Amino acid sequence: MVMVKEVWSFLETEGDSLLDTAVSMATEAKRAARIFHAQPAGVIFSEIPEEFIDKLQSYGLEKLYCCRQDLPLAPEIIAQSIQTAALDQAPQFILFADTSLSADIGARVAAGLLRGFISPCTDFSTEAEAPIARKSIYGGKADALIAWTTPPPYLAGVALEALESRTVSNDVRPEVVDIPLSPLPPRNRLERSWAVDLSELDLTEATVAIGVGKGVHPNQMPIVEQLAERIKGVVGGTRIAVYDGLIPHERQIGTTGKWLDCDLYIALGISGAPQHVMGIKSVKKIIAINIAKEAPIFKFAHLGVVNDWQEVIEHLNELLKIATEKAA
Amino acid sequence: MKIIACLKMVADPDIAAFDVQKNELTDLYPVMDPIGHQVLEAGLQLREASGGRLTAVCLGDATAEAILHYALHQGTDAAIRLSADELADTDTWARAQTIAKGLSGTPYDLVLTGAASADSGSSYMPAALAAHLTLPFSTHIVDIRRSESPGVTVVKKLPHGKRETYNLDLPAVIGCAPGISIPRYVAPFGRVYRQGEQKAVQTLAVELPPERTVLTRTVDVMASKPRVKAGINITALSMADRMKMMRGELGTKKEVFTGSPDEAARKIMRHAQLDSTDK
Repeated sequence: MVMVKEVWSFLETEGDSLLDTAVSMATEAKRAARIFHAQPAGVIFSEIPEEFIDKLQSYGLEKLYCCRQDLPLAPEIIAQSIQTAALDQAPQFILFADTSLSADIGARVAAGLLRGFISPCTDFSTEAEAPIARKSIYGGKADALIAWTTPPPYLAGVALEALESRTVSNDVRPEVVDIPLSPLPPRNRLERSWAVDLSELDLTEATVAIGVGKGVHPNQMPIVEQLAERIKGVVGGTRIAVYDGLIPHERQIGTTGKWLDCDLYIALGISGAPQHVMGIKSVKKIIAINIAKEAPIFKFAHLGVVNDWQEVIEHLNELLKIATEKAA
Repeated sequence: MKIIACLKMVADPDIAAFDVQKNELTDLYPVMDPIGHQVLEAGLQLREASGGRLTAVCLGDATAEAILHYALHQGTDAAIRLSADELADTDTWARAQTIAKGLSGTPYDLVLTGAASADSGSSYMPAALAAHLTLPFSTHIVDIRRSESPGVTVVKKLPHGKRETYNLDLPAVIGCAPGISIPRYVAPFGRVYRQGEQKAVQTLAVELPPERTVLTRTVDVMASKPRVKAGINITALSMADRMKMMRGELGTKKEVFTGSPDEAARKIMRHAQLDSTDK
């Protein structure tokens, strides 16, 4: 029997949902499988409802190694389980997203299997029929081409900026293969999972951020803070906002401040200077409210509102209040 | 508690550059890896909280001694430079093996390293070092406390403000993430500085085992090239469109709304899905 080479991607889940990186890693498995003529597969540690399988099929996965668990697991246990499955199934590649959890698990699996772990990779190729990983060094100033000197599996972490989600036409329903959970007792026990209070959360970690600029007066900040509280956002702003004392320096967004990577950014009274815009390039959805219709921020915003931001936000706060009351 | 802070010497990541004409990295000035400052401070704070001894360790040639002198000035009890021949052309795994062998004569409860270095940023050192020392490890840690049960309580940083608290048996290896501490200011020629000035950096020659394994090999170093993502055919774009893409103006459909504030608020609610999801 000819063994089909497989590319495994570790898929992160949270509760009963797949994280964005899981979908991107499914795309990455498909991409790497195309380069190395292999079958794309996912490794998942959660219950696997039909909608997960449907979704991962649409991103090109043809096989799913699943450890059905509904409790959060320590990275040590996950890594030991993947290690055992890899020894059993002999995949060609095992890929991990370069997040703190996946990179931790990837490094553990690599050390356990006595393999190199190349991370954060931006691309893969072959040279003299051997796989080569491309990774950025010195914060992206140069790239290094690195080869594994050991036999497969080849382990790598994929840089988040290289990841993308792309659906493909895939008629192959992913085959689900159950893998056992490692019975070894962990030396690194998970006690609890929690979230940092929004008032202390760093802008780079925020899911929702609100930016204030020159168009915001210090007296208007309570309205902004009320909005932040309602949408669970973190308030940041431009350099001018720092100079005006609206926000502390560590909440400055832009080339000389923080670079955001959040899902939603609401810019209030911000014209959109290039230095500020650079800091919001990676935001998934930008909404800008500015009274000046020629403000450059409207070129970058997915939704621009030409109006007095205070009036709009007051209405928005009211609508959010009603929505919260309805939900309660 | 006997703590070891593993420091790394890297080329200054702010100054290092790639010369595309010579096809090589230039302006390589050795400095302590930026995360090393926080690793050192975390070690100092732990020693102050639970007593014991803090030793700074760095693998490298004589230039690494500058880092270790700095560590002594900051208040570490001892500093050891691990020297080994043929460090070039090795990978993280082989360097971890060398450090582990160098630590064999030094007692420790906790070995601190950076979670990822500024030069390669591979996140592999804590795992590789723990594997060679046969210890448990935890990485991307932003807080370490001595727990009531045997061991330490550590807080792991996850994306979007999420954290996980673990209890880790000792001895252990911990990979420290940025934010674990704010390095202290030690006044030049102050008491702590002068105490450090009186201590010497110890040099320990590590005999590399013949079975030393290198798991990865650097084939080439070249100019940075971001991945061309599927769906964006750069060669088909005009120069104007390429500039727009770099500025983030290309791609997603943009919409400018000029209605009343009430309508605008409703539009934002729908657009940002604030009414349907609990953000």
